[in-house]
Amino acid sequence: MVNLVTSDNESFTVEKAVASRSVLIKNMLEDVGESDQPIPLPNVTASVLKKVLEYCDHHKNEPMPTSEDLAAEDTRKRTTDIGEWDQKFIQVDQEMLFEIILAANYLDIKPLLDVGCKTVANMIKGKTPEEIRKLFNIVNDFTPEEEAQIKKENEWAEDR
Amino acid sequence: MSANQEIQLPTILDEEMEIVETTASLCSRPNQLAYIHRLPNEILAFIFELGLCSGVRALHKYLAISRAWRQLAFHTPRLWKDLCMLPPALIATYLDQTEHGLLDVRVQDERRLFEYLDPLSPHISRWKTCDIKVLAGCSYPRLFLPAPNLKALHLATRSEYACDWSPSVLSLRLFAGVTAELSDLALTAVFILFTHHIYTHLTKLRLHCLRFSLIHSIKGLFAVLETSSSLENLGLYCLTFELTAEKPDDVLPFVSLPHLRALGVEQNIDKPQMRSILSHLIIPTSSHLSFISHLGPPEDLRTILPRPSHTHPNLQMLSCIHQLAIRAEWPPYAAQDKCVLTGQASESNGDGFTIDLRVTWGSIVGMFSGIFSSLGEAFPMPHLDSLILHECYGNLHYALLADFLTRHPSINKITFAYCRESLIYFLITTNTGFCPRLRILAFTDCHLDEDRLMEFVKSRAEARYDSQSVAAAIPPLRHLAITNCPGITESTVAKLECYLNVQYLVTTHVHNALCHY
Repeated sequence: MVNLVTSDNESFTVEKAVASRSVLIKNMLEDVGESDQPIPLPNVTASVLKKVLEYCDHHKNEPMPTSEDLAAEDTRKRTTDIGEWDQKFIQVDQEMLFEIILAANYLDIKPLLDVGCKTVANMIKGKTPEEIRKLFNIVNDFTPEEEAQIKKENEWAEDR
Repeated sequence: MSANQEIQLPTILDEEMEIVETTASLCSRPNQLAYIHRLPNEILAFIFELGLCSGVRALHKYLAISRAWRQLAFHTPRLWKDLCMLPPALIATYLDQTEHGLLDVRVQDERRLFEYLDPLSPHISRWKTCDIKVLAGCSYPRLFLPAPNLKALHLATRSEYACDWSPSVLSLRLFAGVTAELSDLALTAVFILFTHHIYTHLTKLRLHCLRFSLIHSIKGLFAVLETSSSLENLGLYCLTFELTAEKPDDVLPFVSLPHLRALGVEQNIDKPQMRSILSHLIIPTSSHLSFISHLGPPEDLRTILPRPSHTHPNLQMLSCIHQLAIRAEWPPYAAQDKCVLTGQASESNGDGFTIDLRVTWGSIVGMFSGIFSSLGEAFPMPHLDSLILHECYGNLHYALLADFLTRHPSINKITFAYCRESLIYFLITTNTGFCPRLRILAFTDCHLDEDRLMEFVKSRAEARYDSQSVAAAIPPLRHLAITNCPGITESTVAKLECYLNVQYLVTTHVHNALCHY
């Protein structure tokens, strides 16, 4: 078992197979060898780690992506398809969604990072710029001149 | 206007500018608080990239959200791979925003090429790849600037072919002859003189739809090949010849391409000329071969493949074939009879070569007969030990196949896939000379008759003696593999196992899906 300690000082004891879905933790475990020392995760809060571990537990028996897989992914056309379980798992509020993405990035869990990023990409899909701004609470900070330039660019796209 | 008013005007304008800037600054602050802006730029850029799978319009959207998103999108080159799906004005902005970084230029609409070359040509030194369709006969002066970073160039016109007596007008000054990094060149219906600098240092050369009427041009091509010692990939597709006096056989040198990994050829007409060219190329036995030929009677494999030569081993891998796969297809809509031959070095056997011969014919069965009778003559296969027959509604000709097998007694493994029962039993029971050294027999998706299979297995499961030489024992059939074969049950397998090893498998895949593979 592995003991993980979050930024808000909460401890999680999990199977090694679950914790090792994180390349960061896996490398740490390999570096320190057999040890009861807790692993500090200063960039992850308890509520987020709980979610991340739920994901890791569900996928613990799947093969880890190899460097060849990741390289092949770079050359393949990417899709935003997400598995059924992952879709349900990632149905969280926006704040949690972005925290999960950040945690997946920090902990180096590429499949979870993909699920999070694909979810955001799907949220953007089919929306107008105004709807996207509203969705993510972004303010339109373009000057009138920049707005005019953008309008011109988009007219071309609409003619296509 | 009074003097006092004149003094105040610049001050008012300055103040107004300050207000605009302050307002913009204040407006951008909430953006820093938005949850999405907690993501590092590389993750947000990755999300942008994922969104592009829904179309290039997504990029316009990213550029229109906020200043931060626009800047990030401009500085993520991965998003700008298909520049010409974007408005020329936007490309100009992008190029200005990103002063460095190499570009992939792809324009497939030749009518709009000029429109794109305007913003793109001043940055020609940044071009890494160029894949463009040009109008035949246009000179494109914007392409006369040096392209020192260009690695791949694919030029095409919509013409049926280009003639060697009329080089493309853009060709002489193309990239001012400066393409030191160019390693991948593909020309489709575009002829560029073989003396052009563009042909030096290539590792990949593909020529499509060229008409040679001057032997000098073919010599030029060979001169290019002679100097392209590092060529790894050569494709000669739909080349035609109108040579009157000299023939290639008489004048071409033998060229060795020691690093060639793949040779691709497609022939429609003028096959003897093409065969003559191929017979002058000496390539490694490990090269991957790919031939597509449209054949009509009395043509056969001898028409398209050069004869084996001891003095100049042209396609020497054809003499070390260990495995041959024959796939016969019969699409009723086939416009032309087609023969596709692909070959590669065997993974399991370092010296071996594997050939996959796919024959499609529409109405002329004679062509198919020609191919079969020439198999083994066009490229002798003294080491052939494995044969895969894939019938797929193709109606392989029984007698021709039996004759082929008789001529190749070295075969010790044979696989039948999607073959008719009548063909199988014709070969294994009627034909007494069927693969005398057979050790492994496999069936996939074939209907089998238990009694006849049992009879054959009994007859071959013990060592026999060659009638010619009593001392030479012929090894018995040792293994039988049966996959998805109606007519065979587990009880049949139990009986067969008394005589040899049996591998029996039933899967649930859809038969037709594989048939059309």
